[in-house]
Amino acid sequence: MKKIILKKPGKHVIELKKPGEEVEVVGVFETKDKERVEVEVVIHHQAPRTLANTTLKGVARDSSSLKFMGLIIIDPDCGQSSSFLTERILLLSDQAHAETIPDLEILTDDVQCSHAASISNISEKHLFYLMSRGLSKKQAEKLIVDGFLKN
Amino acid sequence: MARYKHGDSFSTDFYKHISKPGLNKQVIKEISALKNEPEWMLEQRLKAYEIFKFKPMPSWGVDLSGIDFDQIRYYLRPTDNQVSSWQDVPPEVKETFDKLGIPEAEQKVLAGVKTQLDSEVVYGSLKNVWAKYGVEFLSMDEGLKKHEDLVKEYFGKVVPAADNKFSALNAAVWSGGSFVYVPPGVDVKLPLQAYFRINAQNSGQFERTLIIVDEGAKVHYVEGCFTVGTEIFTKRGIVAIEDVKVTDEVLTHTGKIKPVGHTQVRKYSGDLYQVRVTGSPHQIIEATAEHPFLVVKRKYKNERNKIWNPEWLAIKDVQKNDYACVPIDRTVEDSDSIEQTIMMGKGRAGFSPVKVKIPSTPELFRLIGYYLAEGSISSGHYLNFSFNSQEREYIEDVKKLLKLVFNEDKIRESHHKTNHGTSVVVSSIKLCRIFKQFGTSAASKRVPSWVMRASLEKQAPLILGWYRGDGNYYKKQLKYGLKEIFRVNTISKTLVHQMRQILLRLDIACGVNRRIRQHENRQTMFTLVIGGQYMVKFGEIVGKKIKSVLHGKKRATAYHLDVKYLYSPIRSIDKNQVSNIDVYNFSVQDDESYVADGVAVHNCTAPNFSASSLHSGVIEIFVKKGAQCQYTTVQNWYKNIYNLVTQRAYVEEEGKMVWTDFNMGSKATMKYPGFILAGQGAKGEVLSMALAGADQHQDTGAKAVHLAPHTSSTIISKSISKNGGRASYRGLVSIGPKAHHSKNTVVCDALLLDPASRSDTYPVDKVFNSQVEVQHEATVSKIGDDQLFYLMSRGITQETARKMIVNGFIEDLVKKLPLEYAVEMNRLIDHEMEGSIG
Repeated sequence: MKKIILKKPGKHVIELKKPGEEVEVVGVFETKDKERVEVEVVIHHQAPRTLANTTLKGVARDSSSLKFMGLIIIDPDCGQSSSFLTERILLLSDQAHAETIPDLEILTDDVQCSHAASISNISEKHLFYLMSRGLSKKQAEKLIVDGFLKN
Repeated sequence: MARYKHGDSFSTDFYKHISKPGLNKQVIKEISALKNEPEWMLEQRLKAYEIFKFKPMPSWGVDLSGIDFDQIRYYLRPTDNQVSSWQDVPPEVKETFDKLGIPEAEQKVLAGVKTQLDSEVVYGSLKNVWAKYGVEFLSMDEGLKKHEDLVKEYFGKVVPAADNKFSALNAAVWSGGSFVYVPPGVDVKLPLQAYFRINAQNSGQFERTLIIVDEGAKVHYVEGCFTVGTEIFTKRGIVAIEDVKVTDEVLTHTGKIKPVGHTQVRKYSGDLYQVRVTGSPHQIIEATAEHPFLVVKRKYKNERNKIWNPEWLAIKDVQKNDYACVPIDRTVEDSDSIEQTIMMGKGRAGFSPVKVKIPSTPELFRLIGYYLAEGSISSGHYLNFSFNSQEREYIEDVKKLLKLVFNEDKIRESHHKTNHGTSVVVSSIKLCRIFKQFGTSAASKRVPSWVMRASLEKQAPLILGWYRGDGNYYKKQLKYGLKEIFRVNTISKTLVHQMRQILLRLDIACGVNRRIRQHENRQTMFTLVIGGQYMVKFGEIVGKKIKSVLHGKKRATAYHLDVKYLYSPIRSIDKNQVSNIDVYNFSVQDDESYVADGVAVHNCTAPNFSASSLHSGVIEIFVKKGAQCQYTTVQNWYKNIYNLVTQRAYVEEEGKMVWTDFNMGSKATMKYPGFILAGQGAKGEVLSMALAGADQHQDTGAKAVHLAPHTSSTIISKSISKNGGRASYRGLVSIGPKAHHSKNTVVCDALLLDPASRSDTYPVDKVFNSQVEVQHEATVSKIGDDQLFYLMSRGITQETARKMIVNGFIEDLVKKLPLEYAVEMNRLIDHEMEGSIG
């Protein structure tokens, strides 16, 4: 399976033109200070039996803003295609702002398609657990963020 | 589409502009003048008109290029929505009417060929109930007159005219709609049905609804229709009339069970009769004046008739003391043994059907009788018979019967000191699965048709067992004379009527009394009462000798019984005037009759036909501190309509708002029920279902705005696309900086039924603080070939299988609807699915 790693913000269009083409798209973004980051990914299935797995993860700190826009388009006559889109953002500050827009446009029926999006912060329970083992708050946060991004 | 009360019609010569299509200031002024509105409302309308002119059309969502604002009539007179002749009604509409089983006269009314009369009378009686609690349920025009201050305070506050182009249009030209005010702390238990309100002054194209639920109050508002259950005797038990299906078999006047031909509902205006019959005084039969009843006219004033020739008479020609005929099903279908298939577990191998042969003997029936009175099943494998410890004889009898019939000897007895009870317990999954058909608890007791039709020699012991458990003999000298009767009590309504039928087969006339014990916090009890000369025969069955002559006279009875019928005197007939209510009926093979306790009042969700093409309503709801509001819409507009509705609620502290939204009709729908959660701990919920067929675009969704801490919202959306239809979910979840510890969950499921259809999901989540949990999930799928294969391998046709899967897909949403809607909903989905094999 072809693996595409997104490194830069902006618009990325991934077209699946060959029947049976499979692709995995991964993007990890971290924002801090007053950064404004927008990532747009369009997965366009133009051939049958294509498969795409898209995962976008992000961590927003300070008063930064992070926006994920994902769009899956499956054209007509692209039967037996599958596409999955996941967008997850971890908010580490109250001033940070996050937005997820996972869109789907499905024009044929014989497909499997789903998306999931979530925005959350570090749970106080997780922090407490790690801090009770003697880690400082900073270390604990770092550990959780690393785990979130790597997983 | 707008239909107005006759009383509201006016001379139209004077108002030249409003009868013409197109919108200008003059039209708005005339609408306002017609309604005698206060000055400030006219000002608001004109302001909204300016906003409307300046606002652009939405560039997203559905294609709105088909709307021509100059071709729309903004105020319809009563005659405007009428189609001049039945021929002008589009064939698709007629077809749907046919499918739903609506007779032509009714169809014409629904299609707007004739003007509908209003339902003032029905509405009037409910109005008193609401008035008692101070609930105001008025048309928006009345609301504006009566509560100008409230309307002024709230109108356009949660959906301002400037919200979007269509809310501006609505604010400029609104007419119709409802005004609801629920005072603090009032819990309106019955859903407020827009049907009553709106048919009196129909929801216009531009209806405006304002609902204010004051602190701690609770209300459910339903836009659509309403039914009342009437019980019909069918093979599967007592069924509400609206649930009678073409596949059902019902008891007819000849006492035979015959299949139903087709079902229908129709509108009715005129006298509605309420009939009470001796023997079941709690059942009021409601029927239309022309509805024929099978009766025998009373010939002698104070005596019984000599000749009993039943005839069909319209209820208006029937008098008090005439005899109503209760048919007796005397069919005997008996065999020496009963074969039943039950599912038995085989450990890891799962379940498999096992055939059990039970000898059908009088002993079995006596045991069933005991079970009907004293039996229950617990944990799925304990079969209990609970007796009083003193009833030693019966305890031994049950043990003996269990051994005799089922060869069961592992019988345990347990004693309960506190209530002096003794239970006979058998732990047998097999026995429990067999006895399950008689009901597992007291309220669900019933007998299947093979018991109902067994021979009399077996039914007599059945009665004996039942009487021993739940019956008693009552004899007491009262002031007015000796009262001597047999009684059997049960809380199962089905069982008491079935036992009455069995006793009639045994030539024992009896009556059913009902005792409502709500004030004692107990379930309603039904008592089967056997009195007069029939006590002799009953006494023979239960082993109690009753003298047939009392004080030198034969025991009296009010009934007469012959082979075919029980004739019981009519206690009272009342009538009242109703107009425009819906009545139910259905046809039955050969006999064209059925046994009912009443005729229901029902409205249907038939498509609304209107020549005009735009429906743009605005619904504003204010949920105050701790209050709750649910708003349910079932939308089935005709398929040339643009349905663009703005509905939004403002929810204060600890308040709760639930939108339930079903969209099936229209050419294009844009509808995003929303809530602003402005108070701490406020909750919001949207349950939305959309079905998009050929040339339809359902762009629906939800809008959740969290402004306060600890708020939570749930959005569940299900969409089905077929025949090239397009269903979209469009949602916005916005969590403001102050809304910490808020939660939101969005679930969108889409089902695509063929390759030509389309499904989209456009969710937007915006979060401005970190202490939140926001989740979104969506799936798109089709009907799986494996699912179809599985169902079809069970002998189900492809079409039925597809219907089943679709109904299963939306089931959890339909469950949230009031029962009558759920039934209607399933029927509509079935109809929409017809012929949709891809």
